[in-house]
Parts: sequence; C-alpha cells; structure tokens
Amino acid sequence: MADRRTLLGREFRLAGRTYVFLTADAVEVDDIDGFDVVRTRVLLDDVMQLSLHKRPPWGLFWTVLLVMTFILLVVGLFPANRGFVLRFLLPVFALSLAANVMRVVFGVHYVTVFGRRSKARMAFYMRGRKARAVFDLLVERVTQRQAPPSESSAGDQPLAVS
Amino acid sequence: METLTSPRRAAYAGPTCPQCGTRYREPLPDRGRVLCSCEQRYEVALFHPRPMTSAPAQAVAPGSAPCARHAHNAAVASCEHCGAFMCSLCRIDVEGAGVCAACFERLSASGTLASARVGFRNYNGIAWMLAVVGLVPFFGVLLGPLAVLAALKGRQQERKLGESMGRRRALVALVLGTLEFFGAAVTWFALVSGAMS
Repeated sequence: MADRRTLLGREFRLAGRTYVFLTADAVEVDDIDGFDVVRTRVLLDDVMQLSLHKRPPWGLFWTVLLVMTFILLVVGLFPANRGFVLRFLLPVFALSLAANVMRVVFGVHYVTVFGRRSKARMAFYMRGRKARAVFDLLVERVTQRQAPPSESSAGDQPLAVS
Repeated sequence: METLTSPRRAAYAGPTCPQCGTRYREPLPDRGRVLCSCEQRYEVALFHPRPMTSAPAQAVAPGSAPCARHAHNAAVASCEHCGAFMCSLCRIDVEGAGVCAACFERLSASGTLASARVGFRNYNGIAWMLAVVGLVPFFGVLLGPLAVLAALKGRQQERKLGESMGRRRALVALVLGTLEFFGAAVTWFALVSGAMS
C-alpha cells in the first residue's frame, strides 16, 4: 500500500500536468503525460535547494487575448451574428479578460524543489499565502531531515550467534 | 519537468535560478533573496546534505553470524522478507523495513514497493475520458462499457498497488458509462424500430 502523502501543489502545462506530494521521507512528483503516470521521488535527504518566486503569466494573458480577439473578429464579420456577439460573447469575453488581468496583477507563485538529479515545480495561481506556507513547510521538513545525527547514536552491531 | 526517463539529467551544480535555469556562480547565503540576470527575483533556501556513503562492513568475528552473500562480513540484520542474514552493504532500508538486495529487486519488480514504483497507467483518467467522450450522441453504446471496464481496472489497481489517483472521477465514469450504454442502446433500438415500422 502507498505511503500516506499530502498534496502540496500542482502545475498544468500543455504537455501534461504535475502533482507534487509530500511523504514522510520524500517529495513525490507524479508527472502525468496523457494516461501514463511517471513518478519521481526527491528524498528529503537529497534536497539541495528550495526556491520561491512570483511571475505574471504573460504568455497565458497574450494567448487568451489573441484567441478572444480572433473569435470576436471571425464571428462579428457576419451581421446576423451581431446580436449573439453583443448579448453573449462580449460579456463572456469581458469576464475572461478581467480574470486574465487579475492573474497578471496577482501573479503566479512557483515553489521549486531541486534534488541531486531531479526537480519539481508547483504553481499557485493567485494563492501567494499557500505558496509561502508550502515553501516554509518544505524548508522546515528538509532542515529537520538533514540535521546531523546525534553523536550517541550507535552504528549497526553484528548479530550474535548463540 | 525532469523525470527518471529523461536522458542526460544533469546533476545539481549549485544555486540555480528557478525561472531561467542560470547557475548563480557567486556564493550565496543559505537563506536569502536573489536577483537573477533574467530580472527574476526569488527567495532561496540552500541545503548541504551529507554525501552518500555506505557504512563499511565489519569482518565476521567468532560468535557472530556471517552475511548470506558475503561470507567474510558480519551480519548486522536479517531480511524482513526472507529472513536471510545480511551485512551493512547488503541491507536496503525501504519503507521502514530492512530487506536484502534480492528481495528488493523482486518486490520492486512486482510493484509491491510503492517507493520503488516509477510509473503506472492512469486507468481512472482513461475511464473519465471515455465517459466524457461517450456523451456524444450514439457513441455511448461503445464507449460506455469501455469506461466501465477502465474504471473497474482502476479499482483493481487501487486494491493491488494502493494508487488512488482520480478515484472520484472513476466513480462518476462508472455511473456515466452505465447510463450512456443503456441510453444509447435504447436510442438505437427506438431508431431501428421506427425505421422498420
């Protein structure tokens, strides 16, 4: 049975989506490409760097704006569609544009985990506090995990045969 | 996103900008804020994990049991799966248990070890996709049963491997697939009956 794990965050891309979980001893990354799930584990013992940064999603903003403009132009070319455009399309596009502007204003927060040979990234749309909480949690867990062992801990002892 | 299947996964070489990937060559404090040349400002926490070393095996001494694979090494534990004695070189700690190399290979090949699993098929996601596409009129007679089969396969995977990804979607796909099949079957039957009469 799989270890109990907590969902930390996710990232959606054109090529697929990524879910990042935290288990007792590792950060697990499930990269879903189509219908195959590829799982990578970054052991907390092997975490080298954690980073937190914010970036406005300009790519998404311009893509949505271009698509909306194209649809409006194509549909609006025909006079018969003017009513449909005014009553339905324009309000929907206005809402979408407003959401897009808000995403740019608030930005997307990314938390990145660097292991020895792998990397995991989580995106938080308009959830800066959640991103900060996840970052602090990971820093705390990695620090605890990588703390030097106590001097009194003994190594493996040979088994005695009676 | 780098995965185990990606070729040439370069080792971590030092503080790296998470946006552009540029390695920051100047020494950084373990905690702080950095401004990269790509104009990206980020907060960084650096760690210095202990280098990976294995404990040296102890030589077998009178009164101590030898390792099953290395007769000159003293056994420090017995495999929790097969019971064989193993030295510190053979011992693999996984999921809170110490197992020998042979058992680790066998368990990871069979998919029993969750921590060693590197990939699996998302049957619940397949069931969901089939159920959604099956909403298209007349497609449900074929896609509905397939969605049900995929959802059952996902349920079987959950019992066997403990992977519960997309469980709710699979349940919805199960119900939807069943309804689609009967709905499409009734529609086809009605059309055929109407055409014949």
